[in-house]
Amino acid sequence: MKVRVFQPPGQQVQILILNEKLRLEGESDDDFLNRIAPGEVEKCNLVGLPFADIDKAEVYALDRSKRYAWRLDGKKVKIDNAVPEPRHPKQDSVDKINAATTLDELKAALSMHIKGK
Amino acid sequence: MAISRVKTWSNNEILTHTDLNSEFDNILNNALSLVSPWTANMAAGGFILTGLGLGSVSNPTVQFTGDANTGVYSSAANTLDLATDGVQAASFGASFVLRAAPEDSRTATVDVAGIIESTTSGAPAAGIGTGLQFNAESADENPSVFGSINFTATDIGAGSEDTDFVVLARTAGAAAAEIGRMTSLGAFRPGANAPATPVGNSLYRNSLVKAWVNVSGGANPVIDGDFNVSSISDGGPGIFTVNMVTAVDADGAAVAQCDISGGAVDFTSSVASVGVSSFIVFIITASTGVSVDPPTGFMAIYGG
Repeated sequence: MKVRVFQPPGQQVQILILNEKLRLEGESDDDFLNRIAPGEVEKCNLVGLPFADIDKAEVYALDRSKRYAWRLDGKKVKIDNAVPEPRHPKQDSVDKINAATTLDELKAALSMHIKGK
Repeated sequence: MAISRVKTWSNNEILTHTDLNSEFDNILNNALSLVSPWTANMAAGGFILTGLGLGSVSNPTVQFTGDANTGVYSSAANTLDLATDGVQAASFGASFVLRAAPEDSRTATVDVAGIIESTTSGAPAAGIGTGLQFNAESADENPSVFGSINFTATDIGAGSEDTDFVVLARTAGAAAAEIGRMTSLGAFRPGANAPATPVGNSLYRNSLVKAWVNVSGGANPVIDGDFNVSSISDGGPGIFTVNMVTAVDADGAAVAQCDISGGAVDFTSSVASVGVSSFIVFIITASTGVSVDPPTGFMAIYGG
């Protein structure tokens, strides 16, 4: 089973997984993708992006913890180790806690962290 | 005509008054023998047959040769009945009854008890159908058309015929219009959105689930089950775009949701956007805010 992998500029790949229910009897992966995918790219704003049709098992064999670094390279998806790991959603709080030098600053940083500010 | 004679004449025999009287008395006393039984078609010459007996279901007023219990009779005043094999098959009066009679012996099958047929001399096309209209009386209309039920073709192709069952009713005095249909595939399609004050426990066009999908597989997402979903797009851990086969009616007229199953993992989800053909969900770990692939995600969109 193949998936169509799109490469938005500067971002991780988008992987289009078709619903197998729509596959015609005996239809090949390529025919299935070529028949359905063009309509799908308009629905999810992938129009005009470079893409490749790749075996799903091959794509998902990659390290998912580095999904942010998955990039389309020709006819393959590879992990681009040059891509920095995305900032943790709560990194600001962590930074403030680490930066605290007094008990009051630490208490304030923890309070903001707990309150989600 | 069977008029019996009273005398047989011989050669040279003289006709007497007694002979004549006997002959005419025979005719006068047996008038029915002049018209019964018929030996040819009878023309009434524009006159009306009156005074018939009421008959009964087993002995109808008008019967057929060799079938004495099939025919026309009257079971009550102002009522016309038809009997078949001694059973009331139809009755037309204040109420009417149509019955397949005599009964058959089926136990667990459906009998075609009647056929309503209307064919055309034109070329049939999608939209052709046959229906029944129901009239009653309203404050200013007598009769008043209350509604119709139709069977309408959506495909009249040879070997590919599709037909829908369509219900028409009146709303706010307007002419009867479609309020819903059962399609050839067995789907019920409500014809209208809910009014500002919906009737409780009712199904409206905009109260339906328009699409749902069950995505499992965690880091290797798989569509396990769905309705009206053509594909999903994996945008990263916990980021899914769900694409629909058939779009909702209008952008913003629908609402989507995502539920997750994952045991002890504290997932939470949000719907990033809803379009006419797709919607995007984010799934994150509640305690950390990090997006994550759920073991199973249940995504759906309603309304629209």
